[in-house]
Amino acid sequence: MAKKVCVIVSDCSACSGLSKEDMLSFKSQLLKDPIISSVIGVRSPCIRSARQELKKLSLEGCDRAIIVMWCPPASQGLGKGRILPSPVDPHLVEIIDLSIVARKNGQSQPGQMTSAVRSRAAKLSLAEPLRERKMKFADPAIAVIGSGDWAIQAADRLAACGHRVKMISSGDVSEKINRNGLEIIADAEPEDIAGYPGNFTIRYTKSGSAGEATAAAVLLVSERIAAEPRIPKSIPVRFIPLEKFSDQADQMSKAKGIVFMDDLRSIDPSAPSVVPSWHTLLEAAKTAAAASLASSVAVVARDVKSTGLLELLWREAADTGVKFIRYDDKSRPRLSKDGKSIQVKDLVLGEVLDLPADTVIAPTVSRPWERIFVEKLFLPSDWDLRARQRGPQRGLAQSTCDGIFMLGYAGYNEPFDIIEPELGSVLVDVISYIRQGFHVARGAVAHIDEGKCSACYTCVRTCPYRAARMNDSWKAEIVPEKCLGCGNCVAVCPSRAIELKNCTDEQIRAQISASLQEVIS
Amino acid sequence: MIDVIIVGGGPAGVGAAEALSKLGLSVAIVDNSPFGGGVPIELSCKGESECTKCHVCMPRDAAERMRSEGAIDAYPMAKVRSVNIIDNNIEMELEIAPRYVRVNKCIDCGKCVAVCPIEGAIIAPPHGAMTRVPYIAKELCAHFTSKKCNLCSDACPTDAIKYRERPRKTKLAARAVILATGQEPVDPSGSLHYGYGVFPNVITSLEAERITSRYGELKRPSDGKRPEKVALIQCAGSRTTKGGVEYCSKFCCKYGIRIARALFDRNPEMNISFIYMDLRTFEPRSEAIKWARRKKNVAISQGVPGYIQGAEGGNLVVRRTSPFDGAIEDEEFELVILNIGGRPRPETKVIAEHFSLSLDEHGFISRGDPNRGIFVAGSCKAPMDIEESYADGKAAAISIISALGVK
Ligand SMILES: Cc1cc2nc3c(=O)[nH]c(=O)nc-3n(C[C@H](O)[C@H](O)[C@H](O)COP(=O)(O)OP(=O)(O)OC[C@H]3O[C@@H](n4cnc5c(N)ncnc54)[C@H](O)[C@@H]3O)c2cc1C
Repeated sequence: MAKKVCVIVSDCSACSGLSKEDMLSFKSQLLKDPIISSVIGVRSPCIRSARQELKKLSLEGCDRAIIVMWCPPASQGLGKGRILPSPVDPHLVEIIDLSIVARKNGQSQPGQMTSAVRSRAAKLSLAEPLRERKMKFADPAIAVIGSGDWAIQAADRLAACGHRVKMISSGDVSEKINRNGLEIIADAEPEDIAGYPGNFTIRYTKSGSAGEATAAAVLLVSERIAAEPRIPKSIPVRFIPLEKFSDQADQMSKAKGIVFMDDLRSIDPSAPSVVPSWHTLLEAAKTAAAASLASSVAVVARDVKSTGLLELLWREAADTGVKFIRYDDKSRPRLSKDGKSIQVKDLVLGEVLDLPADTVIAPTVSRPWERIFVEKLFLPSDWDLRARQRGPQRGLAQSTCDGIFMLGYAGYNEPFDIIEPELGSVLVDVISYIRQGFHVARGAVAHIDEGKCSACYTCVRTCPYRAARMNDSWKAEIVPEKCLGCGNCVAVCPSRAIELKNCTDEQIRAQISASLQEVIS
Repeated sequence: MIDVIIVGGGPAGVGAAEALSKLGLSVAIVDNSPFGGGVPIELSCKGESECTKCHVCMPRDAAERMRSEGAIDAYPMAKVRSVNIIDNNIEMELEIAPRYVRVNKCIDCGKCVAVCPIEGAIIAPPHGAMTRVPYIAKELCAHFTSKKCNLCSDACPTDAIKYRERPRKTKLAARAVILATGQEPVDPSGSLHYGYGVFPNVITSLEAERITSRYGELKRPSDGKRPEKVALIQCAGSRTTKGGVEYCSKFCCKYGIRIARALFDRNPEMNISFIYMDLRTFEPRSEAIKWARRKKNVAISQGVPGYIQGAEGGNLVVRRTSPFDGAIEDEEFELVILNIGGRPRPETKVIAEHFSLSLDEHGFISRGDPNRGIFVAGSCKAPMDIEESYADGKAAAISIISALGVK
């Protein structure tokens, strides 16, 4: 029976080039089609809102939708990888890009667009939903990649909950944890994650040679380690990275004035803009003032983000004699020409202060290794950004690949004990995934037409997942539980007996062109 | 015997319950309010035109999901009477206050609520409630105040209304307990300089939200007029030694901006002044400031006022020192909204005594006692917003799993 289709339209007039009236007539035309159940307009950024709408739809029991977009980069990005939310069967969602149709001959063509959407809707309404397949985990271990406090905590807790954990860390952490079921692969640099959900292989290099570890789930712990902090050359004064301050505080020679900056970029345009860990910064300023390391200790910041109970630390610091000076982007602090002082207009007092500054302390950050994962694993490219948005309004970073979990920068702007919620929350997801014992795969399954099969064994030899085999009547068959719909067998079959159900040539072509474009750019 | 009892059904309690039941442990939630849900059940979605990520729907949706799956035992209106811990077996005696609607008979048809002539006397469960059974507020219900009205009981097809219900006692036993008793809004009448309670047009953010959701727009309490010029003052009752809490309540910067946006979306003509101390939001570039700068009639300025005075026609004069030249500035507004913070609920103290835990100087239970099976989660531990409380509940669940082992 034909099912109804929902159409999600990105109503951005800038991208579509349609006037408001044209957009309205386009939508109302669509609604006249009996196959189309509803038309939803989404606003920019369209990908994100389209995903939200899809999620809602799947909750309401509508399982097929067409997303209409007007910009090739966005629509191809959406089609690529597993960017669709998992409750929706990706093969029941089509993305159409109408930017070319819309701008044909320099004028809009609502009529043509409507017929394009309608014909797709008619096809989609007949498509069969794919069935779910359970794939058993080969090795029900969890790989934790990282070496900081968070990674240690995560590995420790997972092992304490009775799971087998492989910890791949760039440092040596074996002194810090030791538990049954915990295997530590120390001094290893992760290179790549291969395989598929539930059966990953992590390749790493360890003292020059390559190694491999298998796991059913991977937890990437991205940490904010300032191992080799970048020290800006343009600063003539003594500069100490905030992260190194606690180690150096004891041997520090007396300074005339210490200035803590929230963001070095404000005085040095070549420095990377970072957000400090306010806990560390306040703690450091308090120590500096309490030990009288300088006659003047000041914190120069836009807003002192001492949220929650950190507020009290701020008060304590102020009571020990730390001066807090606030600026805004209209009047940034400036380093004086001789490099001996920082001039800043205090927003509260309204006057320009001249702070003695022969020592500047500011946060620096070294990029951890997460970039390769962003690229190789099709993680959302704004992962980095999302991890940085943590704070009172934190959006937990989520990977788009099942079985891969992520935990953001450690100690980012709050002390560890307050950051803990995020750790726990991710661990719940990891444990419930691993306890299932299998991965639920949905997607295309190759299908063999027995009448055409010549029993040449090519597919059996080709299939990377060993899903093809010969049946009793000497014809090839596909074990659907194992098939991941990669399409290799379809390509090699000399008798053209294999096809991928619900994975049209059009869809494949779109994917190819998307990946080609990636290669080109 | 169940595995875990959760005291408090707010975001933290719901998060913990969801995680525990997902991981196969049996859970009971005890809450002393009629519907549970904590603070978010009183808040409304602030996304007028697009989602502003206030997260109010997050715990509510989770609670609905769990209720429809029957995943947890819920004990609304229950007060903890006594606690007895012997060898990792936690026994709790509960007193369940009457809700005057019998839980096992009610079929959630809504007839009783429709027929009631007094607003608020019988309350239908809101979205995200722990139970779908309505609740009769004894102070308002005419049956109790004048002994005459029987309308709801007559309308009920299953005879579920029982005016003579008595409090009853029950016992629960478990291997671990999570305390998630949460926070309550700070009462700003302690901040005398703001004149809350003195001037009718100085209201709290929660009151503003209630007015808006009731009338569909913001109105002045004194004369019901639509205000054209509104001040939103942040940190009222937080970060102060003048009749409030000393710490930063953490959720209010974002909350205040969301209120400003919701007000603006409803009435783009309104002049809104957003007055703050520090803007503690953590986006890479401050979206809020950008939003405010783009709008002509939204002013955003640093430096909270010294005090508020009454003026003619119910208006208010907000006096503060200018952050730029130190001069004293007076500005007249038609309505002032104080954005209040949160503080631990008074019940938290009682609960901590039951479990012999100590409170810190602000009234938070900063840590539980995992050895005795007591865990703490959510905003009764430290200031937290909804998302963080919800995640903290899950974190407590993980600690329990590693302590008890999974089945
Ligand atoms: C006015 C206001 C607006 C807010 N707006 C936002 C916002 O927009 N976004 C955001 O992220 N956060 C917001 N917050 C913060 C948010 O409400 C809290 O962070 C969150 O509710 C904390 O969840 P919780 O579970 O820890 O506690 P609560 O939500 O307080 O829940 C605690 C529950 O425990 C019950 N309880 C207490 N004591 C007992 C006892 N002894 N026995 C049984 N049950 C008990 C209570 O009845 C309640 O149901 C706001 C807070 C306030 C006050």
